[in-house]
Amino acid sequence: MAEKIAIEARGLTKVYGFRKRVVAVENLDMRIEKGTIYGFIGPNGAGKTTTIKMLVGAIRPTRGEAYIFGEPVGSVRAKSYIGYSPEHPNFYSMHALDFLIYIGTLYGLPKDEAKGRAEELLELFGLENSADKNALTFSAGMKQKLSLAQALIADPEILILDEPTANLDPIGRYEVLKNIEELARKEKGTVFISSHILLELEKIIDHVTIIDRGKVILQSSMADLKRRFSENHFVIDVSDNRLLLDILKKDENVTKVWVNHEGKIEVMVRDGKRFKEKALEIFRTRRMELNEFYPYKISLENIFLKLLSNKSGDGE
Amino acid sequence: MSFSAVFRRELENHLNLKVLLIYVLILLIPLILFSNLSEEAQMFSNLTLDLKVEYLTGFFLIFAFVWICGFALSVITIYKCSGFIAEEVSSRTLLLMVSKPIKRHNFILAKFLAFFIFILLLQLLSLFVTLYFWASFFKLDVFSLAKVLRIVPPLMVYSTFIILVFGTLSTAFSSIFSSRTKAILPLIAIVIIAFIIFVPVRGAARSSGIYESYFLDTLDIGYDFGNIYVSILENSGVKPVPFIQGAIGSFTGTYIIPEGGVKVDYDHSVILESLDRAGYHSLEHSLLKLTLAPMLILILSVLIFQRRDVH
Ligand SMILES: Nc1ncnc2c1ncn2[C@@H]1O[C@H](COP(=O)(O)OP(=O)(O)OP(=O)(O)O)[C@@H](O)[C@H]1O
Ligand SMILES: [Mg+2]
Repeated sequence: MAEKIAIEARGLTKVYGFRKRVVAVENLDMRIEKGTIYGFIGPNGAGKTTTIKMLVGAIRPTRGEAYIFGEPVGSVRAKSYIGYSPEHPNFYSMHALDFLIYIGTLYGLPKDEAKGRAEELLELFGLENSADKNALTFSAGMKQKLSLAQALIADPEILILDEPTANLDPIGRYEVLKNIEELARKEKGTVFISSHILLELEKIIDHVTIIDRGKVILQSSMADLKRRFSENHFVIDVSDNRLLLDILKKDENVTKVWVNHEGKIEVMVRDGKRFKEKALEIFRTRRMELNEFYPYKISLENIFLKLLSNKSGDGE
Repeated sequence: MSFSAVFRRELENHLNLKVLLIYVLILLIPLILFSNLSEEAQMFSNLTLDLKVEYLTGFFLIFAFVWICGFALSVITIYKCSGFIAEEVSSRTLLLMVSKPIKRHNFILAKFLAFFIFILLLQLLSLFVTLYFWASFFKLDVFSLAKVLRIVPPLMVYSTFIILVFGTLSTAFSSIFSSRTKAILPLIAIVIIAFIIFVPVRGAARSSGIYESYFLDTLDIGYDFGNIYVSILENSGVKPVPFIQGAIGSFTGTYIIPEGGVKVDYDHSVILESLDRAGYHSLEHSLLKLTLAPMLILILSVLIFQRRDVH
């Protein structure tokens, strides 16, 4: 496994159905380097789960190909690199601990090694008191955590997680993502993680693919994405927004300024750093009371809006 | 290795005490019915020891064909094997399983092998237990019991055959139909047609000559099962008395039953001759038909299963 590319997809396409055809994923290309935490973002029905099922070998691509460390997806070798947590985790009627041990042995771990690892993971996810409870009686959040634990049982090179935080409370979300990030960074593991909320993954992912209706609409490193979508875009709310609007309209650093649906001012500038200094000066000299002043958040919705508005603009 | 992990878990599941008890009860039901036939027991008690052994063996051969190696065994096999994949579909665990590093056909094979070993052991145990009970009902001594026990090996051979036929078919159906009911129904239909419906149909068709002229024997798998059963017995030196041959014959059509039927002859001064075998087709023909078809169906379904999308 000298390969540096952990996951690669070329023209990956999945069409469901015969008479009523649904193109769930169309011509997906991806190259994910080993050690990357990769976000796979899209709204409901975008094709995230379909892509993931192709990567783990559960469904067959209609066209195109995909490889895990150079091995074709679906092969035993490809699957041996992967720990996968499905979107809707389901288990056998077994004790949580026994279930984890069983999954461990499926990856070839000796039973006692699997047991030690299973106990560690139950503790990591706060399930140590439920080790001898039937997994079928778990709450949705507990199932989600158990599912993550089984994905991690054999220390896989690649974690493929389909909406791993969907059923968790806010604290649970934070902790789970933190755990995943820590594990991945420590072991230089690769993580492929899907969500429909970009903001939630923003802090841990290095790269992102955004898909919508089966098609990739954006692929970028997070650093680029931030630069492109938020560095030069601010939201401001002061006591006299109208006056501020008039002032900003005359500023040659400002490329675009408008009042958004919340009545706040949004402004796009050429030089973000210079703008911040200038704005603070305006607030002071004009004696404006400052309510809010923050860089625009790169939510999925915002990216969609921006890409759409750019399409008419610079034809991107 | 993943194969042995699946195999071990399946075997552990089979060895669940509650399930075992249910199986043993199913296998033993007719034993209780039979032991209530006090009339038979009465007649038996007057027989010489040799004839006792002869008849006990004979009755057990009927009981084995119909129940313990027949209906009960095939139904248990069908029930268990039809769940191999269908149950994983209904519990939605299949998605996770197919993502694990094991070939899909090995996943099925491991389950089949675990069941196969389990059911063979269970079958051996049931045969010994039932035979022991029967022998003690009729107060056989140890030496005579040993004589009766010589039917165990051929019955085990026949059981293996039954498990393979119904096991491969129900495993096959389990992997192509997504529900267990869909997998079970065609097989239960086969069992009922072969062993129940075909009995009167065969009788009527034979006496009117339709059976031969329309080659109904090629469809008559009840006959094939009987043919294999009787051949295995005869090859291992077990030859039932004519009364028993007649009973097996009336179920399967493997013996030609003389007009007026075969009477139980408890008077040992009459020489018991053997009935003639109905030679519609050879043992090889029956074996080939009943093993090749299920095997082909299984291979085909596993190929389909390997390419199937799992959600
Ligand atoms: N088994 C299936 N048969 C037919 N169409 C399907 C099937 N599974 C998914 N689809 C369709 O494929 C498209 C993509 O679905 P997919 O589940 O991959 O989306 P997703 O991005 O995971 O959405 P969500 O965020 O809701 O989980 C949808 O239009 C969906 O209706
Ligand atoms: Mg999904």
